[in-house]
This record gives sequence, structure tokens and C-alpha cells, in this order.
Amino acid sequence: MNDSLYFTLGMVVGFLFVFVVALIISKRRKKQGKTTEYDERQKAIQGKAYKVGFFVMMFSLIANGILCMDMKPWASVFDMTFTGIALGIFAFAGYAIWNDAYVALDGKLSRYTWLFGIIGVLNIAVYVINHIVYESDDGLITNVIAGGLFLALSFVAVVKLIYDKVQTKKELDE
Amino acid sequence: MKNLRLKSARGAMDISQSKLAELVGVSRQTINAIEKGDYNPTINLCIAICKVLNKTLDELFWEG
Repeated sequence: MNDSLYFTLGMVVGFLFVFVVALIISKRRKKQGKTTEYDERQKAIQGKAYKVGFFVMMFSLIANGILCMDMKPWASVFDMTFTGIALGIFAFAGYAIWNDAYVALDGKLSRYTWLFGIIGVLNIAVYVINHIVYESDDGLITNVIAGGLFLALSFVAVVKLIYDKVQTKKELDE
Repeated sequence: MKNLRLKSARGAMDISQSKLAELVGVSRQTINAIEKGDYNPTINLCIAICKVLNKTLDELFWEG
């Protein structure tokens, strides 16, 4: 087995591990009665958000394919696919956040603002450390795109919070 | 179309959007969307709101 196969296997095992852990936590929470609840309007909007995310991801993957037909690929296959997935996730989450369908009934959008911001900064920091300390371009696409995605979602959440405050003030003044 | 009857029924009982949302089991934004006319609630939600505000479906939701 060569090195790249070990790398691929490591990634697959990593993804599977995260998936299994998430499944176990989800089942435990259901047993304890701690389910995440969304109301009917939120569920309807999430359905639309999934559609939006799906089409954005599909079109970005098609665009990548068309670009690669005439030009040299701008990144590895994995990185190009990851970019498409990230754009799809941004479209889904951004649409859901803007239409008040991302946060569950007992949740607060402000918490997600901080969480997304921290995750975004950490991802960018990982790339910067790799680049400066280890002089490696590992994570140029994946960490930067992931960091950009979370920072963009944090920005959408902040704008939404400000917009809601302004709208509430307007309605109270009426 | 704005649902002003819902807004005034809520105001008559001196209940905020958040309180009504909590009593009915939805988010405050959903109550806001219903009052602004941006969302048409299902019949179950309409009934739940009527029960809390002590009104009939006709009084709150019928466009007559």
C-alpha cells in the first residue's frame, strides 16, 4: 500500500468515526427526550433551504467540471468537490438563518454567531500555522474554504440579528 | 395579507408574541410571520392559537 492510500483510508475512517459518534449522541438524546424541535414554519423553510443548497452545490460542481474541460484543474478533485459542498452548505444554512429556521425553538442565534466565528478563525489559524511554521500549503483549500464558510455564516447571523433589532424597534414605534 | 385580528386579539389579552409563541409551541418569528401575513398556518396551529386567545377560527382567520 502506498502513502496516498493510507491517507485516503485515514480520511474515510475519520469521517466514519464522526458519523458513528454523531449517530450515537443523536440516539441517546432521543432516548432522554432531548430532541431538537422546530415548528411547522421552520420545517417548511428548511425544506426550501435544502433545495437551495442542493442546487447551488450541483451548479458549482457542474461549473467545476466545465472549467476543467478547457483549462488545467484549479485544484485537486477532492478540493474542487469540497468547495462545491461548502457553497451548498452556505446556501442552505444562510437561507435557513435568514428565514429564522436554523435555530431550534429553545436555541439562540447569538450563540451560533460566536460558534461559527470561532470555528472559522480556528480553521484559518490552522492553515496559517501550517504555512508559516511548517512551510506547507496543506489545507490551502480545505481549511481556508471551511474557515471562510463559517466566518461567512457568522456574518450572516450577525447581519440577521441587527436586522431583527431594527425591525423590532420599527414595529414598536408604529 | 396581514392578520390584524390576531394582533388585536393578542393585544386585548395583553400577551406578547413571545408568550403566545411559547403557549402555542412555536417560535416567536412564526407568530410574527402569521401576523404580518407572511405565513399561512396549518389548521392545527390555527386551532391552538384560537384556544389560547379564546376565540373562534372565524374570528381570527376567516377572510370574510
